[in-house]
Amino acid sequence: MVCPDCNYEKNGEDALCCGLCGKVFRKEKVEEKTFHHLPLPEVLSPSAGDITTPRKLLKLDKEADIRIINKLYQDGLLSDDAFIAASRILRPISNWFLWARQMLFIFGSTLVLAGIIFFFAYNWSKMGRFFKFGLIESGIIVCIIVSSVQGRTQLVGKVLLLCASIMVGVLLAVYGQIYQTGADAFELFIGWAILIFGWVVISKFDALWLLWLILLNTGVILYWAQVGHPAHSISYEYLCLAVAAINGLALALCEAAMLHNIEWLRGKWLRNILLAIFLVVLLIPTIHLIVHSESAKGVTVFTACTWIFTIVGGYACYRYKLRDMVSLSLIIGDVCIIILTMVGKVLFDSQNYGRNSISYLLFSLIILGLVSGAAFWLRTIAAIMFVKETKGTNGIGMEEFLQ
Amino acid sequence: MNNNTPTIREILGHLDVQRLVSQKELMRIDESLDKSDQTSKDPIYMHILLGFGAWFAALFLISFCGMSHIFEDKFLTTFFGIIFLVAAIFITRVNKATFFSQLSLALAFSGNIMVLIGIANGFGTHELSVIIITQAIICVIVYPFYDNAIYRFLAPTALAVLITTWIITEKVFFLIHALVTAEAFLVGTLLFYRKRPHLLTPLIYSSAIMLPITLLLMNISQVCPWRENFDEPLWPSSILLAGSLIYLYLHLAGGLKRLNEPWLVLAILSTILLGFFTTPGILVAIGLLVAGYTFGNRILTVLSYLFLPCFLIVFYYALNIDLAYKSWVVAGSGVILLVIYWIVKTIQPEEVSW
Repeated sequence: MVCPDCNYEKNGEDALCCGLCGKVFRKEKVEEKTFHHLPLPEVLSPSAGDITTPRKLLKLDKEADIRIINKLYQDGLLSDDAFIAASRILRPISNWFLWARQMLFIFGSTLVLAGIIFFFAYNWSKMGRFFKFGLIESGIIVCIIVSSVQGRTQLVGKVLLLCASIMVGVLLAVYGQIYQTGADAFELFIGWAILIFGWVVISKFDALWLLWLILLNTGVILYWAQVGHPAHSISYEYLCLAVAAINGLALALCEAAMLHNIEWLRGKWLRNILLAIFLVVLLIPTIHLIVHSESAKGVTVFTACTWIFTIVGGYACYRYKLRDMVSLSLIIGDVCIIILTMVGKVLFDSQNYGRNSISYLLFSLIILGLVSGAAFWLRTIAAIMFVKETKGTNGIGMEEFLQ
Repeated sequence: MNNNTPTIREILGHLDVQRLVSQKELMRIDESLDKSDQTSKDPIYMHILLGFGAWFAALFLISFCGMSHIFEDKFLTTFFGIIFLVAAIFITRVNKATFFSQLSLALAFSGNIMVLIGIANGFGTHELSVIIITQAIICVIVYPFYDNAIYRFLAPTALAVLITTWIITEKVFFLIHALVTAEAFLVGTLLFYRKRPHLLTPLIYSSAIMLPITLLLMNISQVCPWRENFDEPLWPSSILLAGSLIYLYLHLAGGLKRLNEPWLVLAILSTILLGFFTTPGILVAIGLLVAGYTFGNRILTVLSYLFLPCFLIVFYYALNIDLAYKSWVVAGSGVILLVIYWIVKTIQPEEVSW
């Protein structure tokens, strides 16, 4: 039997748990007498389906977690020996090896890559240009070859592909350093994003997609700063819309991929980063519209409308469809900022700004009230979501939960 | 529920554990699990939302006090600051509703700042040392009485920031090693403290974030606009942090009696090597990562992931070290880690793909 967690292949067909990482297989088939060799204390006796002891059923049938075991130990409820024994069941030595290997590789690669970037930024004059190019290009080739050999489904392969992608940027920077091309910085970032796009597509690696999006965003922002803004040809609202479009599209694709159960996009961190950027860039022109409504242009109004559409759509999506509290808190936090901007505008514009201290006290209380309301709302939603999620697994009703 | 993850019942019923846990302890564990469920804590995003809300409210509250001419009198400033702090403690004991807890937090923030302003004005000086001593006294007095995780996290963190700023502005750079020692000692003590009172939990996170903040500030101070010439060697801090990491490994392994394990010897030797070779920032990132995994604490793990790139960026711009030397140190540390990776892969009992 192959372990789904560590891929260890030498487990017997009737194994109860993985011989290497200790993962318990087919828990429902584990017989009582197999797992418990000693007479069971009352609290450990099987209570599945025993409706007279719901408290025990709920608490002890929770998934064991190293945090819970640690907490029990910290609270003095487990002795040193019991803690070590429980920790070893939850986290066998092979788990530590796996973790250590992953982290050593990720941290080691990051540091080597950073060292390479530092080295080429130093611009060592004694090193010839061809030697510099040769070194970087060799690095890229080695990374790609090893990545292909290891396989792109493996973490090593993915990280090496990421390293190769970053080294393409180093190559472009060194090219600009040696030949003094005079090109604007945005060209470097856009060119970099274009050159690595193929690797990004085949990588199936969320960190590489994030790097690519950062490059694209940086390229667009620098284009506006170096070309659009100095020539007064492009107002900042267009920049905000462009950045929102890039990140919004990426977010939509990310959500679609999640809905289709694409394994490598299951982490919610990418969603939260993209949503945060999306909301912030739409927030800036919306605040501008509220504070300086007299100087607002058509595109500012359009951006504000996009913000409203995003908030409504995002709330419906993350409240009912995808159910994510962090995303909801980002949306509600964004709404709080807009409401406070509107209130502040009314409060401070209508008063004699320099003299009326009561406005400040009032505004302070309004902030507290609004944020408290938002927190109350979020807690209520979280409780409802929790009940909906657990209802299917252990049959607790809303009333029981609230009690 | 994932069918492959054992439950607490299964863990406690496992032969290796069951014989080490008495019936009485099992009953207490059951009660404890029930109690911890009833006192469910807010997630981190809620703390961030509430913290920002209270902080902005505090800014407007301070502005209100400023416009009411309270700051013109140093005694009045201190007096109102103390009143605000006392009111914060009182409110949080009387009413736990969200609005009142937010109000008390805003009062605590503004009260803390007003006491600092009042005392600094009272001494007729803007010496940072006076502000640091005042903040330390406020922390010691208010921390045990004011039951708010956000304040308990931010007040000691602010103290560490003030101390680091003082070391940099007064150019007493050698004290940075003492500060790093104190912070490492604090975080280690708190993490391994058994039967830790609930009120110390925010201090763990505060002490865990102090080390990264100290190192980041130290490096930022050499960039514009300060450009402090930080000419203190960093090896004492590196060696000290390496020593702390070794202590952590030994503690996790179960003491000195496990020193015959090859993986422990490897971990210790590589950490000694890193201690002599690398810069403190990298050791702190590794320490946070190990602590995060050991205690199953995602906040420490995320802190480590965030700190490493931030440190590398700030380290790149630090002017007191030659870029070629930085490159050598950073890449060399990476090579050491990759060599350990290769050794771990070799000595691991069975091949596992990931």
